[in-house]
Amino acid sequence: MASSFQAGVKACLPTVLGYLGIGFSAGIVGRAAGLSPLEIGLMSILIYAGAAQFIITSLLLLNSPFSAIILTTFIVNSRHLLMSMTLAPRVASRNRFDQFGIGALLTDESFAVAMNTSLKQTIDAKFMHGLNLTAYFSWIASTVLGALVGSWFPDPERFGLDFALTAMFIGLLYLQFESERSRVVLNAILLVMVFVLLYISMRYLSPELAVLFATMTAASMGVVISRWKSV
Amino acid sequence: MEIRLELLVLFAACGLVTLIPRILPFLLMHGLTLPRLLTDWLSFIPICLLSALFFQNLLVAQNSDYPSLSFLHLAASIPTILIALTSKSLSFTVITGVLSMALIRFLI
Repeated sequence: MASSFQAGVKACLPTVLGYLGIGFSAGIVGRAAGLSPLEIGLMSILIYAGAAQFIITSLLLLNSPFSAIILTTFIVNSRHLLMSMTLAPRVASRNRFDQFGIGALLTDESFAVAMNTSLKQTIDAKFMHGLNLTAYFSWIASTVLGALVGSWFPDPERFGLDFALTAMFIGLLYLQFESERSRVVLNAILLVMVFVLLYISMRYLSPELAVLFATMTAASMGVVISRWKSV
Repeated sequence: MEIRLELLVLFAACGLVTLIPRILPFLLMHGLTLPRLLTDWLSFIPICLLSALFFQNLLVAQNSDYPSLSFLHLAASIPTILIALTSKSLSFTVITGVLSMALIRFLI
């Protein structure tokens, strides 16, 4: 069974680079905002969400009330509900502790890697733990490292590190397209729809809510189109 | 090096509101057979969510107006997409993205 855990660790490795880049930047930004390396590590351990940690840091800098920070964090991270709903039925484990552990450490990246793998093989709890724990420790280590050496790199953006996340989404999106070749045309249509929906809704909603709205609406359109085509 | 108590409380609360949507489906959907319509819908979530997250990175929100396109991010995306298509490797894609962005910022 150890091989399944190892397979999870191995599947995580390509995304580790992205975690390192973003985590390092998050550490630097946190340090610049007056958080100690310990506090930055604590934030990574307790919250473990890239985009949210950047937003929390910037809200702290603006002296936002804690209630507003907590509500914003909830909105930013509510997309995990969609991912968890999608992944949960595909994980073959009836153990409550396994399920808790898999859900608690779910990220955009580990979700994409797991979905990609689930199209080729069944994913068990050990695989997910290998994947999630590798990502979790990479994230904690890189944010603390960024906090510790941050004063020597005052501007992480100059080194393009902020783009690691976007680049990771490009790579993960491509891999998802690759693994769903049977409906590549439909997926391309949905990609365009997502852009249009996101563009329009970002006028009225926060970027995080717009992401949720565009995702859920486009997925519904995907269901309608695929049913209508198969009739 | 210290940990401020109020920050510990804040991070724990933020952690809790992050944890709930992450674990809820795992705890509730355990052993449940989902209706076909829902599983169909869920099968489109990865493509749609990853597309939305990518596009969100290209758009800059404006106050009560449509978002603007970040040409900086668009420019760095082009070599990144090309490398993703040709290398099919996530690591190369991320490295290309970071180097492209660094190069563009160096040039402009």
